[in-house]
Amino acid sequence: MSIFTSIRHKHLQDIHKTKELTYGKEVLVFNPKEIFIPLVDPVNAKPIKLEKSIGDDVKEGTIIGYREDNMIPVFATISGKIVREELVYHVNIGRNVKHFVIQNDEKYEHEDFLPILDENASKDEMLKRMVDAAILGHGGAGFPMFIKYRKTDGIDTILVNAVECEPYLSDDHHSLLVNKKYVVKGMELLLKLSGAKEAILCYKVGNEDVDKVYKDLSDLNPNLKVYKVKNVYPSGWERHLVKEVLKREYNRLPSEAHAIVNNLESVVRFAKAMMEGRVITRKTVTISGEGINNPSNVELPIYTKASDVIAFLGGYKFDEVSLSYGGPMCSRGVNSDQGVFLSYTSGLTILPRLKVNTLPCLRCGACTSHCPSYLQPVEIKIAYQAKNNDRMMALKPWLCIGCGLCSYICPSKIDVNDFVKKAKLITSMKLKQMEANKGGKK
Amino acid sequence: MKFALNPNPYVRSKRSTFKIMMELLIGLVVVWLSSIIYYFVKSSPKDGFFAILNVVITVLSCSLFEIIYFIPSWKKEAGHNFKSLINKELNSFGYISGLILALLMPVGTMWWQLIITSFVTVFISKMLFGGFGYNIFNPAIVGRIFATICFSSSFSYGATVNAGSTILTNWSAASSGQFNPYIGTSGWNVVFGNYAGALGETFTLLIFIIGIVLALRKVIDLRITLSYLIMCSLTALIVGLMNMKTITYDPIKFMVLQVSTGGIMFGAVFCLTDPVTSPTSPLGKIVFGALAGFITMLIRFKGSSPEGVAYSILAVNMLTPLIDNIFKGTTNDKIKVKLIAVSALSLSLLLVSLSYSTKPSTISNEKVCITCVSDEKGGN
Repeated sequence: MSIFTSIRHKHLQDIHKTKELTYGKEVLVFNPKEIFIPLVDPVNAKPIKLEKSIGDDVKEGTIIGYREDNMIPVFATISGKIVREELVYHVNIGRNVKHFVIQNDEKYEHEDFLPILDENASKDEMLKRMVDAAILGHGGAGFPMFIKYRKTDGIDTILVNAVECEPYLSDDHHSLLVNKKYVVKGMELLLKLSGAKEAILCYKVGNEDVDKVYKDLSDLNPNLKVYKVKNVYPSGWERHLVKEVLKREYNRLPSEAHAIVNNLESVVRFAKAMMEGRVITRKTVTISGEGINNPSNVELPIYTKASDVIAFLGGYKFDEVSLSYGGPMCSRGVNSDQGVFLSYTSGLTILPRLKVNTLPCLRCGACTSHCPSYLQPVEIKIAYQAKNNDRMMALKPWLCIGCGLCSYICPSKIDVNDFVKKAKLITSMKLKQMEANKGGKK
Repeated sequence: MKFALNPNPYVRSKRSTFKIMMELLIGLVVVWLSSIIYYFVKSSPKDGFFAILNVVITVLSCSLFEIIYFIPSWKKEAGHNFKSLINKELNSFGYISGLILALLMPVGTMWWQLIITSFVTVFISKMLFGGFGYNIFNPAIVGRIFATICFSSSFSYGATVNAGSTILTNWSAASSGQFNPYIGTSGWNVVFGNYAGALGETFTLLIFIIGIVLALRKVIDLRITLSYLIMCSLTALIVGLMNMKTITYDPIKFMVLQVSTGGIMFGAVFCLTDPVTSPTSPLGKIVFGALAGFITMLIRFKGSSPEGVAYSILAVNMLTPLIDNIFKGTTNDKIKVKLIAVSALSLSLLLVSLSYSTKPSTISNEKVCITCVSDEKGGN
């Protein structure tokens, strides 16, 4: 079929080289002097309900406040004192918002752990634990995990996504190697919670060290399996994964294909929350790229400022760099290293400024024949430049997932993805308008 | 500390348009070299010399006309120097259009004809439309057709008539329309290119192999090439089957010879696949190739003028925006309906091609007999 539509993925050149920068390196531990807790919900930018105020002493794991929409708690991630309120850049929201500043008192005291739950816990208890421990989708979207498990009728497979198809990032790879106990337990617990028949751990083919560790997964529990996905981008995308592993397609949510997809990080977090009563305060992130001295995986408290870690690792190599919170393919660049790591930021990529020689569009159609969403980015670009709104609507740019493959593959080095995003903005507004009009007429 | 705010992704494929064009250039140079060898060995050293000179003249004049076009805008640039001008030319790829054009012309073409044709090729059909990436028609094909219309008499009856005319010009422009003097003894000569014609068009098998290599290197899109070749072959096969009595070769051989002669293979690999003038959607490319194949064979069997390949390429170049418009939307949208429609279209085109053969009288003996004459001569 891909002859007539799109092959939907691409092996990224030198992806192994980019991962080698941090593979097998010792994980450094970093404790900053101050952490910055954003006082807004990262999804809708609404302020959180505060439990603590300036001057209070907090320990690691103390609840600072709750997110308004679903009562997910926000934890202090280091012991110390809330010293002041400060306006700091927030990566997801894209502007300065209020943050609490907690000064590290170097005592590293931890709040009491939550009570331990074993596999006999009821479904409600488990769901409540997901909320209490603030477990989100740690793949990058930060979608609360419990929402996926509220309705589990008809689910037969749990997919654990440890694909990590972005270049440079290697925190999932590291987690796979050291957290086997939690991965297995987490998968078993999720099976129990959802009533699914099997759980499949998905990671990329060619990771021999991971293969060795998970050789005996099916012996430990016959319901657990390993699936090795192709080394292509974006094989870690939910829809791509469900298609490749289960050969099923769906329209909106994976539950239509009787599957739930979870990030590896979320599964490990959930296992830790259940077995040990831990809430999320610390995290291993990849800080990598050609633009930084000593790229490494660093274990740090969440809400650490990026600039602190970069200074800890030896600073930038160049005067001008591209900085992105996440992988270099689909995370938007930011013009500040003052933003903090959120609980679902998987890393930081620092690259020298991209220098490309842009030529006119060749109309080769490489973007069209590789788009994972079957879009025609080149046509969208032409329609956008011609300000032809009708044409843009016909090309459905709102289906774009922003994977960046079209820009990556473009031989003329055009920022195709940027045009598609702009068109997406325009068309989704129009779409909403049209729907509103329809509703009004009814 | 400065943070670059260019849009993501921050890693890019190493494959660039320039590299693609250089690979295409290498493919073209291989064809050129083989034609030089052919003319030195099989024809006179004079023809071999012209095979070199023609290409040099065309490539140089194409580049020069582009540079002339660039000069006004280049002068307004801040800090312009000679290097930036050369850089502009290198990234505009006029020399590739020039090389394709040179390979489409017979060796007997005069130098001034080449220069005028080069002007039409790059200046009128490419730069006036906005330069590389904006031209509507394939520049080399426009140049070739211009040359055919303006200088066709000297093509066929020039100083080096034997080595200097293409099969197809002689086929019907000269009313006799005989293939035989050029094909030689066996049909294999046609496949290997062992006959005189346009400089690069004759080496069918070589061009096909280059096409496969280029397609594997993702320089050209095999969808266009294959759908075009399949359409041409099937049409030729149908015509062959319907005229079993008038041709002495079996229809399969007739088909192979039809596809091997003239510019079909060269057009399929180097001209039709020009990404700028072809549709972008995968299915659109297939339709594009099939339509071109249909029009080529229509002109070959029913038209009064040669250059079926060239005219068909221009015709489908014009249809490109229409095809893009038809296949707008996502590529998997109603894919089954689209596939059925495309196959129905191809089938109906083939059915129309049946009409090529329904009135045998209109396919003059010479036209179908290309192969029988050579057969007689070869005596096999």
